[in-house]
Amino acid sequence: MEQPLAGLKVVDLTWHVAGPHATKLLADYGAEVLKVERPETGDPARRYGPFPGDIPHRERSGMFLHLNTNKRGITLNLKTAAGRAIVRELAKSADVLVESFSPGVAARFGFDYESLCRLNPRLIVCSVSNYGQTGPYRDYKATEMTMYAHAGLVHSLGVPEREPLRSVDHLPEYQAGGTAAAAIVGAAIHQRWSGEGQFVDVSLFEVGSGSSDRRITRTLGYEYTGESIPRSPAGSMPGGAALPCSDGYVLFTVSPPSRWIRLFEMIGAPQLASTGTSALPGLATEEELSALLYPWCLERTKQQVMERAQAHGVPATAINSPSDILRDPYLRERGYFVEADHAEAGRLAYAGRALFIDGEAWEMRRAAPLLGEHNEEVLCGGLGFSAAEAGLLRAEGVI
Amino acid sequence: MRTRPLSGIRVLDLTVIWAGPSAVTMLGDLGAEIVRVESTQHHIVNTRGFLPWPKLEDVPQLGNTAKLYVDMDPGERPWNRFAIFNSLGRNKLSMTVDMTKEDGRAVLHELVRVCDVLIENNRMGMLDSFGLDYETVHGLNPTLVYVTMPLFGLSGPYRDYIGFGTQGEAMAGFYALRGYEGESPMSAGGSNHMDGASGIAAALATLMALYQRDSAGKGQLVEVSQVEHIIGHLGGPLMDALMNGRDQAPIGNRDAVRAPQGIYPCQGEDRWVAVSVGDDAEWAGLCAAIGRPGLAKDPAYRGNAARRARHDEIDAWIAEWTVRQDARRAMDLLQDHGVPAGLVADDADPRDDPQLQARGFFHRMDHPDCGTHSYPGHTFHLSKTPLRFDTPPPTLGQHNDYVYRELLGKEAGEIDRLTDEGHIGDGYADRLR
Repeated sequence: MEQPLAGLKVVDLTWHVAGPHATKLLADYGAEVLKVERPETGDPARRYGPFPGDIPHRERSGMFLHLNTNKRGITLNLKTAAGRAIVRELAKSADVLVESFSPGVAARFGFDYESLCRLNPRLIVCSVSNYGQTGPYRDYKATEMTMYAHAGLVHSLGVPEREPLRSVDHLPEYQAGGTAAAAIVGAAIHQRWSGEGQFVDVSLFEVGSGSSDRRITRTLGYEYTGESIPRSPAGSMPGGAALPCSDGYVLFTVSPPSRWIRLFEMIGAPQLASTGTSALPGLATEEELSALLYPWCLERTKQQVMERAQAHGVPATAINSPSDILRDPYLRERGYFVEADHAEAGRLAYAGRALFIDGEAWEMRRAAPLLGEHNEEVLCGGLGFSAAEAGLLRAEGVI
Repeated sequence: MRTRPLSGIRVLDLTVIWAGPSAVTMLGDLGAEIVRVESTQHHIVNTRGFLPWPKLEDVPQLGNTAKLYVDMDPGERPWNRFAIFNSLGRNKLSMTVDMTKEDGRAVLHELVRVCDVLIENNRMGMLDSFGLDYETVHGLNPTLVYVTMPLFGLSGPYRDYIGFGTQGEAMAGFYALRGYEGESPMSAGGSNHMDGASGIAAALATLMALYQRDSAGKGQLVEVSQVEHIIGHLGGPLMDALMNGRDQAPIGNRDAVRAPQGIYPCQGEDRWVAVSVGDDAEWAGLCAAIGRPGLAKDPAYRGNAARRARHDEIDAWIAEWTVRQDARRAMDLLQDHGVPAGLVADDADPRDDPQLQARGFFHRMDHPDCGTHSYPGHTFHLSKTPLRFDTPPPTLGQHNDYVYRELLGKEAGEIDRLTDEGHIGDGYADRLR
């Protein structure tokens, strides 16, 4: 079956993480995404790494490879009139243009919605930015860490005695990228029946502030009560805690205590459930349970503990490292990792098959583009430049 | 006339708690009519409350959950006053039916015929056991898009595994990668990225399926594997394991490259600002902002690597300044000097945030059981088909009349019978007290 977004033509002027994640999602599900990068250096994500053997190479950055699957790529110097003219030419026949410049820059290039709409009234223009295209913080600078602090969950992460804690890198960008992709498909549905494009303004700040990662609920909770929920102490045994095993940890959430019976059954001591020495009728004390549970876990691997726990209806999973994930038997059976060849990075496995439509997930049509890989194909094919003209553009530093 | 992308699309909403409802919220923002299916006979923990009938006397035992009830008072109808449901309740209609009974299933089968999307994130197999498996539903309505959000997936050895968002994040590597440097994985506390990310992914998948349905003319089964989806958010650390066989370890609030980076104390209790410096220009801005402009010229602090080697020393200088500042003022001053800085927002901060206010993020709404409040809203903006915030969160069963009478065309007699049998109602059954 055809991919859901097959035929949707996207001009991609984004860089870093959030915008490229949005266009990657579109590309993975069938859209024809053309990524435009600066000549010579390209997308800064080409410098992020990780690199094989820690040797920096613009075609081997793990983050870039991960974020740019299924896209074609050209280079354009947007500081030249010729470069900007080519973007306008591409926009005429595109369905979507996505950009993630600092607010105001796209307008200076003539890529603001009003200008592009005159060229192509059915074009969807999506801006992905930190704080949005308007408002007093529009020009504030952010990194993933400062953004997650301001818009996300940092205040509630960590222990009460210490400073709040950030999370894994780049979560605000991934949430914003997914939101931008959804917003674009929504706008594309409207475009299909009305023939009309529109401007889509996505900010990391609003995505975080409205996220159901608890932020939106905590904000309403404060509005309702004037009370804040403090950082909670690290998990207390045995209701919700990471228990050490022979090779790592397993994360349990067994609350309320009335469900501890499943833990007793799991460790093969159901009789304890009826000793009745705790405050809760019919249950052992927390200390008694801990005294049995800790050694039981330590004698087993985290995979073994997880399997036994799940067999007894206990919500518990292994705390996996990235290499555990690469080895995981479930993900292998599901075909989660897709291998693809890349001229410079070689054959690598790529993560991310997670959304299935009628059993079909995304297909790997191509790995991330080399810098300027499709210059000639796009200029001489789609846009009708001659080889000599393309050569001239190259000599002038436009491509 | 279709005024929004999903005008004319009706969504049968069988979702619970956070992840599923947030996906539906996005569909409602885009104009879909949302018919939430609820039950007065069954209480789903955390959707409309931790308990079905908490009383004011129970509040001390509820701990932080009490802070999710209007005025910390569950009131006469606690299920209508709870912030988890209400924070994601905009633009939704609520109907009640007991799908564990034969008549309830028949009602749902009728509803399936008049909806375009069915979406759910219940325990694996639950809908199957109520006759709402994909094959049955597809048979009743071949153009319906059926969206399911399993923790792991519809196949494979972990298919039936149970867990909360925290279990999903543990499997997906998040616990191993965040935390204070050198501390146990529990030092980080529970994060809930998966609940936020899954909702977005399910909305995207639903929209793609609807886009495809417009051309293909038939419905599809959409599977959103929540754990698989967030593994895709690891990016760098996963590629590092793949390329170099290396597992990265938590480094607290610092960054592998940028320095200094940290979270620093401000005036007041539990107030903080996040600061991240990545080049010499930002460093000069920081030095000026904290009143140590001379440092910017000192070659000993030039370049991220040099600063990272003296991170503790630099942290102390920054904290010495921040501790005398109001957190928001510290952010503003640092930004004025070109330094990426963010207030560490607590639960109170978004409400007063000038950016959110200027962007129209909050919507003032009257609610029959809650009074008038400002509700947080949309996560993006569309210029020609503005997102919708027409109605406050629905009370339980508020739209039973619309659904049973108008949508399903039921006669008064049958509505009375379904009311007597506990399908139709506006509060949890007495036996759940």
